[in-house]
Amino acid sequence: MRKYPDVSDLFKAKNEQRLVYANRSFAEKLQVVERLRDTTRMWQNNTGKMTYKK
Amino acid sequence: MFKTFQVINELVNEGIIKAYAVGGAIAAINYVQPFTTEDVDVFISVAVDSAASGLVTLTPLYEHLQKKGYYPKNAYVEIEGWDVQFLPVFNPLIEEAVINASEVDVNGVPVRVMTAEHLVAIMLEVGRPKDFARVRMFLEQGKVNEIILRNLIDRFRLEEAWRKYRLSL
Repeated sequence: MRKYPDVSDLFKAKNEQRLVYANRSFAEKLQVVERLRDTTRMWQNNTGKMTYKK
Repeated sequence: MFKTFQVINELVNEGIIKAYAVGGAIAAINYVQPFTTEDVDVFISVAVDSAASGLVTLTPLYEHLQKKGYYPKNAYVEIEGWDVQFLPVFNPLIEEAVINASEVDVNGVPVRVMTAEHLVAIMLEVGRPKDFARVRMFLEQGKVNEIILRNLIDRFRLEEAWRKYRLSL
């Protein structure tokens, strides 16, 4: 049987990172949300620029 | 986004709405890791037009916002760059969630946000796949007091919704 690498540490690290983000302040997390939204809109517009969809 | 919240707070100070609480994805982000969302759900208590029809009307709110330069866009009002959806309280669970919301500071602006337990109860009630995914985030990241959540599940008859959530895992 083929042996696969043990990636449990990777998943553990990802979960720990999620908790680090979760424990940040509301204000900090809202800034992240705004950046995520702007990036999404940039790709929706397909312009390559930060322009807002109207 | 704090400017958006400033405008919403002004609505309370000006007597346009009685009380509010942020719900939905933005409220969830107060507790769990940030994720992408396009709008802000604001649950509001407004005075019922009891003298006339007994119906809840959002017309005074929309008119007031238009005077300030914030115009409706489909189901939303764009306020300082964010699409805000105002939802009047429409059941006892939401009403309790608005009353019990906690105040969170965002760059010096106080923002009323629903508690984690009320948010999870509402997500169970709504029951879409994305709601169950968020419930899982709350539980996995240890953001919920299980005794309080159990109490909400019992009082608002969410046992069946809880069972569906458990089956979805």
